[in-house]
Amino acid sequence: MISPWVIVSAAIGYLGLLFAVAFWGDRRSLAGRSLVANPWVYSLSLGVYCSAWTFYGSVGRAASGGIAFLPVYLGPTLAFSLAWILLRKIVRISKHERITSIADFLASRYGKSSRLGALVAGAAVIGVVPYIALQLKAISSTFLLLVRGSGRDLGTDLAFDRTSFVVAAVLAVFAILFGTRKLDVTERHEGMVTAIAFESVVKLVAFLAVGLWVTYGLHSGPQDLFRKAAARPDLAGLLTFQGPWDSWLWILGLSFLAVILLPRQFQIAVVENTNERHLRKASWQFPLYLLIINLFVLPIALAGRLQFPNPAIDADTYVLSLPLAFGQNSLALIVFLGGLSASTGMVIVESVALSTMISNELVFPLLLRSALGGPDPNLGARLLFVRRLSILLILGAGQFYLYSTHAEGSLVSLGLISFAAVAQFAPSLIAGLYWRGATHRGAFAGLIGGLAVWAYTLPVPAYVASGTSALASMLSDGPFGIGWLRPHELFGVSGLDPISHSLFWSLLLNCGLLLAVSSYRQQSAIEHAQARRFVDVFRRRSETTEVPLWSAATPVAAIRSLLERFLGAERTARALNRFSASRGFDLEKVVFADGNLIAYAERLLAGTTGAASARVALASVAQERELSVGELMLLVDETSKVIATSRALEEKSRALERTSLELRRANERLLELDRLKDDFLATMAHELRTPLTSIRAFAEILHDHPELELTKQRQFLEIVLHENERLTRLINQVLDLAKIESGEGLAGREEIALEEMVAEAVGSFAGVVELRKIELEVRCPAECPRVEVVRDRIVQVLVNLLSNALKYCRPAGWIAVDVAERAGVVEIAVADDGPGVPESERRSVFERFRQVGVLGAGDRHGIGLGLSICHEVVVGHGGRIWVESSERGGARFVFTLPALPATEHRVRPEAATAAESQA
Amino acid sequence: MSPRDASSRQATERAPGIELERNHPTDRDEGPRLIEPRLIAICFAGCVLFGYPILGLFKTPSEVAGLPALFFYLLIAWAGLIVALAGLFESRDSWRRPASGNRKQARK
Amino acid sequence: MSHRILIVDDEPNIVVSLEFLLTQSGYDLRVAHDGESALRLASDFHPHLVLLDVMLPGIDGFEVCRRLRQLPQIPKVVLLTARDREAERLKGLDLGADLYVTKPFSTRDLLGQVANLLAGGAG
Repeated sequence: MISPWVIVSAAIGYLGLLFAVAFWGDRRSLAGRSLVANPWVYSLSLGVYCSAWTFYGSVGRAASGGIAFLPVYLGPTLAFSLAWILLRKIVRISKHERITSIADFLASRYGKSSRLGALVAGAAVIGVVPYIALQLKAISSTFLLLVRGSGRDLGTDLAFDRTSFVVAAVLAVFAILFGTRKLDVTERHEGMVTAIAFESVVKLVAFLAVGLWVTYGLHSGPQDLFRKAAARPDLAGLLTFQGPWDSWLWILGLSFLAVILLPRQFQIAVVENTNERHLRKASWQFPLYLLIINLFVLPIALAGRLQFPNPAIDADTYVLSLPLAFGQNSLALIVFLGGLSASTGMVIVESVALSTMISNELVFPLLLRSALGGPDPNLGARLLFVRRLSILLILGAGQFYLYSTHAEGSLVSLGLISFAAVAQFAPSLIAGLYWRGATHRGAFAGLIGGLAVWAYTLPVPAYVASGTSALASMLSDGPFGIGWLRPHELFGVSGLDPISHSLFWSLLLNCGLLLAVSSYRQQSAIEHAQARRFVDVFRRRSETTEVPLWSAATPVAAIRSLLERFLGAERTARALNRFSASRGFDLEKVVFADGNLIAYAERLLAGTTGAASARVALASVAQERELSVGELMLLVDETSKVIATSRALEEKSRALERTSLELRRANERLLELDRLKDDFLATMAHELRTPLTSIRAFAEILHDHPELELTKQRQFLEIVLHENERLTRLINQVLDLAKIESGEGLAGREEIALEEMVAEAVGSFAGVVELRKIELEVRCPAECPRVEVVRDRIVQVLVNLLSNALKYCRPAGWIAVDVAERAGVVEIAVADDGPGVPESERRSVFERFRQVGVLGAGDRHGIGLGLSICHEVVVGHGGRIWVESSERGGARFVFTLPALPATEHRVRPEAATAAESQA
Repeated sequence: MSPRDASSRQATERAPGIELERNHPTDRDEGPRLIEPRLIAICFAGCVLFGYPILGLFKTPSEVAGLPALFFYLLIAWAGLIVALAGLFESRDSWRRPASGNRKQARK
Repeated sequence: MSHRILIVDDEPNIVVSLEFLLTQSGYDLRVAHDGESALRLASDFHPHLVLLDVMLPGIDGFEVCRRLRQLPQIPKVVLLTARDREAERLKGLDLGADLYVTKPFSTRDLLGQVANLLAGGAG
């Protein structure tokens, strides 16, 4: 019997020491000499797996089942033999995606689904509550044991309830101080990890101390102890393998999964991992730790059975009862501290992991939807508050579970219920890592099914059995007397222990639904993208297809302010600077964020809030992009081997395609030329034959009708002359065109002011303009540019364009000639207020004999080749010609000519005068 | 996809991946190593050693070196597994890549 | 009674010459300058014969010829064209033209052929 004050002060002293260690760990990490960067620390911190279950419960289990306690440690050993393959993949993915918990991992894998994240988080919280209860029970009962000096039945003990309540409260405060001390929630908890590693050492030392004392102090070595046990008929069975096989194998597999899936194991092994190379050492160091801590479990259990034939002594407390029975009070105190460290380690990490899940997957998505538009400047602080509250709730729930089940059941049976709950994550996790086709719906359905069966077959019966409720009969008779629904013998399957039975049905349903639903419905684009990122994480990055899921039109400022609300201004600035530096651009100068920046911001946020919430948060400022068919095609499942071989094929067929495309183009061009030639000839024939027809007709009429009156004769003769002129003009144009095309017509350039040529061209229409009352504007800069051209040809171009304008402008309409000089080019435009040239014809008007659609009958005379000649002349001078809309809705024909350098035509007259004065 | 496409995509893809910390090994570390099949072999051996029906050998009491045979066996088997794992991770040979013929294939 | 003839051409001078000659010969005449108005006129005027230019603005002569065949009272059609390719000639005759005359044509010959056609059609 030890004074409560001694125990309490020892416990407080120990917890203070733990704080000091954590503080030291944080200081070291700030100083850049992180302790956590050491693989030994990583391996030891993984020892958080060994909670009060290991410290007290294993002995209890061994005392009645012999070696049956062991698969819980052999499973993790097998799991860690594959850590380099399995866990490394999870770690790698989690680093890439900035995963914060197992719930976040699954949510992120299955299309960043907040629904799935919430389900996993909820299941983890509920599933782990019995496990928390286990720790509370262990601490409380051992405390009472120390105080009273002997074990007693605790179930109806008021002192136990009070003690466990105080323990829960103390642990909650402790976990809050530890896990959510810093405002900065995204950084790793390096101090915590250091403290956990320290606790692993303490509990190992304490357990070895009591083991050595029992084996070598109480008895004379293991041989002696085992011989004494073998001599007792009720204990001899504990030294052999008693089965049953199914329990052994199920628990072996279950703990294989639990060592990865338990929230605290995921937290330590994945989230807190600083370097995936640490897995190399941990692969053998962690199993070694398990081996050592289990060495004395069987000897202590046997010694306990030998010492206490009285079954009233709870075997779970042998570790403590033995030293107490022999007056080894200081050893008992050490053991108590060892057990305390085992429990606190578990509670701290578990509650930190669970509170992260609660805040990120359950509370935060709700908060985001409601309060994001609100004025709250610092969501980070609110997040921290939510986490603290969740820790209180988790421990409260543990305490409630303990109270409502009257602390029935051994430590191990409590822990196994939790194991079975988190095992439900296994199908989704394994499929998520290795099967691209696993879908969100499949995972969701599997989890729901598995968890429902778990709840019905494990915690519900545990609760019912402990109570006096009317439901108690459902265990033996089934609910409402339906026999095949008995929770421990579902569908009449009997002969299995409850854990094996529950695992069989829940995992069967879980896997079945996952497979069936995944094969039934297709994935969404984002699911597919995430599936590839997860499954193909070890592929070379160039081979995994990244498809930007965010559209680019989001202001950088919006992204920045969003990040600031979560991370604070300073960290946001640091992160954005790093991003822009790595990209080599100045973020201050960019208005809109590109898809890469948004993706970067999403991952930054994910480190704080989890993937699903980050996506919701970003969706409030950025638009999600619709995927194009091409991008979806990129996502289409193909192993990279197929891609590699098809790539070569593709290259070949593309070359072929290119060649045949070129051939087809050349052929089309030839056909087009042929057609143009035909059109040209046909139009030419028409244009020549039409006047000829008239001439011939009237000549015949005049010849055959000499009796015609004179005015008629005169009219007909005028027509003949007119048609003759038309024919002559046409023939001249054809000859001109031929000349210009051959280059002959563009010889003899001279330097000349544009003004002069414009004046000449305009002058030739002066009569018509006046007659038709047309308003003709000539707009020329004061210093009219000079050009070096073939004078007559440019005049011809101007005349052609002007006569066109005259033809199409309105009666008493408007024509403008503009001359302007810009960027070394002189631009001359002739505009009218006529019907204009439709957009579709603006290129073809310069082709030969092309008529514009708006032309009325009889208006076509002379247009046939005019614009073609203009085109040839302008191009021949190194200019361009085009048509656009004029300011008054008509056509505006514009052509350019290269300007003479300004200096040349300005300086020259001065140079001439200078030369003159010298002479 | 031409080689040029691949490299340009790689360049654009890298940047969002530049995280605050990047302690995991570079991509050069990738590719199959001899250790992977060996690890799977150890796991398989563990399943056999700790499973049905080997443990059935210890249904009847017997002793080795003064210890119960079951206890002794599990101790040795477990320790042996750990030694094998440690040996595997600490030996240079495990980090070799498979022979060159396979290597090319694996890199594709 | 005199036969009704419809002239369809967008060349005013050719129209003038044909108008003069056919009036002299005592035919009842109408003139259209494009395909649309030609078809409109034809359905009211019920010409016995249409002198049809192929190169018309809007609907071209071939199309006009095809549509004329759908009238209740099908007129004789003489195609006038500057295009003298055999293929086009055959196309015109396929579409139901009775005669394909290439420009420049002799007005004397044309008058004779018109008279012939109308006589054959009447008889």
